Amino acid sequence: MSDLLLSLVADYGAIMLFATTFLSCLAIPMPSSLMMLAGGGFVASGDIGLTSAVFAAYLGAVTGDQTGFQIGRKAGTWLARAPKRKALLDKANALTTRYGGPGVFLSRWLFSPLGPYVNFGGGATGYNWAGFTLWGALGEAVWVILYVSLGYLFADRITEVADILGNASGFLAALVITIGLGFWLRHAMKQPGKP
Amino acid sequence: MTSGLKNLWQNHKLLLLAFILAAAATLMFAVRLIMVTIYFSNPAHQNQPLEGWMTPRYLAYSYDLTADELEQVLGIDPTSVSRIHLKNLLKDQGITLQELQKRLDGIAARKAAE
Repeated sequence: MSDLLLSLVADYGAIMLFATTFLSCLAIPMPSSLMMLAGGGFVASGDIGLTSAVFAAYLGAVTGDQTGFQIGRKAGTWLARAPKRKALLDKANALTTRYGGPGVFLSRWLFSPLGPYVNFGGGATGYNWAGFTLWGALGEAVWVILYVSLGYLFADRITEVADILGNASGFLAALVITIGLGFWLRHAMKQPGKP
Repeated sequence: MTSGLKNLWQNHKLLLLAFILAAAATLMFAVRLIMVTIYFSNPAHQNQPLEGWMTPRYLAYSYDLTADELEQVLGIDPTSVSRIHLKNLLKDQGITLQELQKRLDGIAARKAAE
């Protein structure tokens, strides 16, 4: 699968980078980190221009985030029709208002496996659009520049770098979820008998 | 503590299971991360094997080949093609990736001998 996608990067260059980062922001499983590393590798070998690789990956990521956010927003309006769910969404909204900005920023690159769900969730809970866009655009810039640069620097061994980075970001994302659930558990323990 | 756990299991079964699952996933990623890092820090495992998606230029860059050497292994003028990947190129030439790898190893051996 990733072999085919990498061949497509070789054949179509920037357009493929745009498509992968766009789709990966919508939780469609794409080896986007590997593809961006390959993009950096192809910049190093002279097959793709640096500007077009970075620009295409970045544009795909930002438009993907916006699409995910709008999908979440539509789903949120639909969910909020039931009063019980609306109360839950309002609760979640209080949480996103408190941690939203840095959460959006870090879920772009450091905890990147969580990114698409933050897009949907942010839209659904009615998180402020301007804040989402600003923090998201900043975070995606870090993601794209980081991965394309690493691909450029380690062009002769991108599959290894992708392997290491994939496990590292998986570890960080799972750790954040574990800590979050841990806090939730502790909170739940203090209120015995409540479902 | 035990009564706390019992209470959690009775009242927050899903939450507790999700927590255990997330903790297990964290541990699994940590172990895999350590394993791949150890594996790739061994110099013997650092050469990226030849793959079909690589372009001629990528090949030259990765294996440190001159334009002449690239022409020698591929049998075509590398400047005449850009952004075509090896799988298609080799199909046209009628050679396999293994054959190409052999040629590359030959060049590397000759370079080492010089």
